[in-house]
Amino acid sequence: MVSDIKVSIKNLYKIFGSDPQSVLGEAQAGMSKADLLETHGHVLGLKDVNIDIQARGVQVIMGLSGSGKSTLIRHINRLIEPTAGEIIIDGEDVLAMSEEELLAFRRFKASMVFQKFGLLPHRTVEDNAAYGLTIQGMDKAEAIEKSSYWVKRVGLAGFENHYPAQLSGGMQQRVGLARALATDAEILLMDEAFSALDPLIRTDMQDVLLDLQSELHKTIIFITHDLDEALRIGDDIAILRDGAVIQQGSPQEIVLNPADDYVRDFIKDINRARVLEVSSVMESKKPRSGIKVEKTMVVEEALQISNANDNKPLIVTEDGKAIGSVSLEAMIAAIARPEKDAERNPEYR
Amino acid sequence: MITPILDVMQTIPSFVYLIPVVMLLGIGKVPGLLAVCIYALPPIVRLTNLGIRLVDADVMEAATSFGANYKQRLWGVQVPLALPNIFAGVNQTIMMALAMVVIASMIGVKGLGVPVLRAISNQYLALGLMNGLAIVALAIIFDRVSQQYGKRLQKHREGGHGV
Repeated sequence: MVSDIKVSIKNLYKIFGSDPQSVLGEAQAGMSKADLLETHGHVLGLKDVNIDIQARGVQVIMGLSGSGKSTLIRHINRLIEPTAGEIIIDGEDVLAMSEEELLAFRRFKASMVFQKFGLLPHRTVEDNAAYGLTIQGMDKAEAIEKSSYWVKRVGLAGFENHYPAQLSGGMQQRVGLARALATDAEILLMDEAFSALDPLIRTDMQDVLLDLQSELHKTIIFITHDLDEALRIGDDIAILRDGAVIQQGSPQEIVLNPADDYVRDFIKDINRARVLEVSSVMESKKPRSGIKVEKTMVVEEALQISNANDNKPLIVTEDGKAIGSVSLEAMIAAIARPEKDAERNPEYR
Repeated sequence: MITPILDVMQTIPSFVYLIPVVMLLGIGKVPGLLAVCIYALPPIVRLTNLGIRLVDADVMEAATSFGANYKQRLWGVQVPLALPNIFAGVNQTIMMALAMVVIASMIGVKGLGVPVLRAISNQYLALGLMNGLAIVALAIIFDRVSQQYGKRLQKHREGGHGV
């Protein structure tokens, strides 16, 4: 992945209450959410959030309900005003923008997809998809023509003249996605975009998103409470609890080295074989013969290959060169569910 | 700020404001129209206000996130989505305006109110009833026409499962 920072969130605080500034000092000094609520009656929404988001990647922000993830994403396009902190996008502080600059930013730079779709019920599918463009000031006919490409791309050809209420949830979210893509914004904010959909449709929509992303390379900030979803689409995951980031890293890092019990609890029930890559479980010795696999292959696939070849160890390669090997035993050990005291168990680490 | 004014407009007996209106403008159509407006406008104001406030916060947030300014939000989202309430207000306003014709006739406005007023003062039952029913018929026609128009503006509410 190309590493340049598109969005940089620095020391962001959000306190809800009658006079947030009055208690900001204490929050910055490290007062906990519970104490702040008890002594001052203010709710600490976000606590010293620092996240650097890579351009053209999918940044997942994960947490349970109440962890502040939806609050955080709304700071990026300033649907919620922060109490303190900075959000730098392409070298510009969003929080310092004037009203007009902010409108232009929302119109051209960042578009958003919502959990509850947020479609305009009185407009047809094509009008909804063209909404962002008409807000930009584009002529309506031109906007519809331009957005019709995206309506087709998300698989809604033939439904252009339907109203949102006539569509299923999954189709409504496709409209939401088309609307967000039509403005051609570089940043896509997705607030639990697929959480309201049933599991099959959700996987379907993830495929649509991944497919589009492999071609568009937008900077996507994706909020979810579903770890499987996070691991599937995220290039990088930040885990939020009580408004603070407790771990940020690639899916591999999070699964292999959970920062604390909270994260460990989170990853307990996931399908590890589908996340771990063979490079995470390989040994450095290089056997002379064997089937070669790329180091980014997930264990699940490697297991099948090994199994189809008399359970022999596989050679792990990087750019065609062998860098190590991985045995069937090592792979099976890696996908076993870790025990509570996994930290003290050297085999697992 | 608006609410107390509306309260006054709705509850103050019409004769009270008819006195200064007639003093200033004399008798005739203009003061009659003014009196009707004072009495009949509050419901549409109240219901439009309510309708705009009831617009789904998620839809408003989506519009804001795409950079819609105040005007674009008001005319593109709030007013269209408040239409059911606005048209309930239109209905109320029509009914109340027609209820004022008799009072308006007291300050010299000609029309169906005049025979009704004469019927009241002379106790002509049939004359009062016929003209009263004529007012009702007018109200029903105005209402049905305006509601049908409102329905046409809200095509999206047909044949869906509600959003």
